[in-house]
Amino acid sequence: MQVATEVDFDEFYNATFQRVVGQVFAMTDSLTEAEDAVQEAYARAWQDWQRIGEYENAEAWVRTVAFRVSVSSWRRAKNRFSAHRRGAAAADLPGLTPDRLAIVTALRRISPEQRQAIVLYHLLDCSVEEISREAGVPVGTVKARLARGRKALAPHLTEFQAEPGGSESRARGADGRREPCTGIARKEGTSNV
Amino acid sequence: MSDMYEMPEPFGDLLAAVVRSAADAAGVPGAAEARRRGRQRRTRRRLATTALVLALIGGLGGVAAGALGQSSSSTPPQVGPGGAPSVSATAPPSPTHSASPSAMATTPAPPPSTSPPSTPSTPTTTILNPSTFVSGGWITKGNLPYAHQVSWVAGTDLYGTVVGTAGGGSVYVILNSPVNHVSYALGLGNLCQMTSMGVGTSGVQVEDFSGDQNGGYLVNTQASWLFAMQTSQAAFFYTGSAAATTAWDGLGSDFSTCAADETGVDPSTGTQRIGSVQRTLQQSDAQCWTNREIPAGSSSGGAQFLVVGCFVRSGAMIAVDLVEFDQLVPGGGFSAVNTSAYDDASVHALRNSLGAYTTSGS
Repeated sequence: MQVATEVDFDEFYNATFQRVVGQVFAMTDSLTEAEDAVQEAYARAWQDWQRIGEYENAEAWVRTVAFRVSVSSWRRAKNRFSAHRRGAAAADLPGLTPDRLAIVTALRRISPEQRQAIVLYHLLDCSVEEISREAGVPVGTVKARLARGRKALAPHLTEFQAEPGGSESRARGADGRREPCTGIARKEGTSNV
Repeated sequence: MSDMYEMPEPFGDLLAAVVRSAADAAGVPGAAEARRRGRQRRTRRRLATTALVLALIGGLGGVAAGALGQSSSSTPPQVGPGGAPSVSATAPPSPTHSASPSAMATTPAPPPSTSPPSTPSTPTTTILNPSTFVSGGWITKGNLPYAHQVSWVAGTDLYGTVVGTAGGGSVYVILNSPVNHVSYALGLGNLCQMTSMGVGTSGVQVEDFSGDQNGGYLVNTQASWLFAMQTSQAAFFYTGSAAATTAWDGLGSDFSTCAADETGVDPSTGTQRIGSVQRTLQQSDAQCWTNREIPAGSSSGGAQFLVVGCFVRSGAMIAVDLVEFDQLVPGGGFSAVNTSAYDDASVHALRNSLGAYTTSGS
């Protein structure tokens, strides 16, 4: 039974880890922190895998926990204003093209909560209601975070230009849409993260 | 899904590309490592629980022992509530921001007198120290713009040194940085820079409030919403009356530049938009403006944002009050913004604010 549980967990981990790191990286401040936060989230998931493994969307649970872990760490370690002023480099993700670097740099200028909303909305196609559930805040708060984040990003994204279709369109699925939102399902106990 | 918050497609695609890059670059410690870490956490939690129980037991024992010891001690320990060392009641208070203004006058202050001067005096301009805080110079929370419609919360991003509190928020001062004066005190849209206002300043005091996440809406329906993003009050201190005059006279030109800069293709969204400004009030010592950005081809109701602001001048100071509304769907309700009522109330409040400051320095 234990072996079967481990196999189940390992399959889940291997199928989702890197994807979640990518998403949490976009929501937080650095790849290193995202890696550690996501690994910590999987460790917590393993602690209670019998329950979490039954969730409709355990990946969203891990992403939410990782985001909270990362933000907590970020808040402890850094002064927000200095982080904003610093925000010029993406040293731990080398090889970014200038336009992608502009995205990373711009995202670092807004709060983690705004980044989370922006990423869930624009990357994962989550609805405001789904973001509300995943972030654990009212719909109005999500709207405000989206608006503030969008407003704050706009002045910093003036350098990139739309790339001609092609390589970028591969980010989408065969039907042309991005991955569907994998919002966390409201289940008893999900707040215990 | 609603297009209320649409960013340009390249943004989504670039974001997806960044996420893929990060995912590809991520080191994968492995599931076994996660399980090991999980087991360690479980063990640590059990140890911590055990330690807590032991500590509680020990603490109870210590309390008992302390009680026994205290009964035979002539010098009971000085312990405050919660076990913290108590602080002497006679200790001097820690330094606080001075509420008594100091002023640097360009002309000697007249001697104290209750009788009018025997000869007409030439009006003098008092140059106030920008670090001087006058509590009466700030709009109270209940009188903040649109307070009857919007729930405001004090801003937490303080870009300068706090000099005082007013209306439940913090007033901070930015010294010797004209660029920051403009950037932080005059958030007039993305591309609107009031450069004239930042020339000749010795400092600026600012207080910000944000629209409450749940109570900052003038319109909030499923289809549309209008959010009061923020309101700022600022007091610009100039090095002299001439500098203030230059700034004052440059306001119209700055706003015109704003409209021009906001018109064209928005490089961040790829959409055409039209910036517009309008002077809604003009008096000898006061002017009020609106600045809005309208997506091309949309009705005026489709404006992306609307900033309303009033400026009042007295001597070497200019007081400013701004409110920014964001509307991310056409028809989101800019009509709910009553600018004329705002103008009157804002000018009245700013005159009082400047009066408090200039009186303090006379």
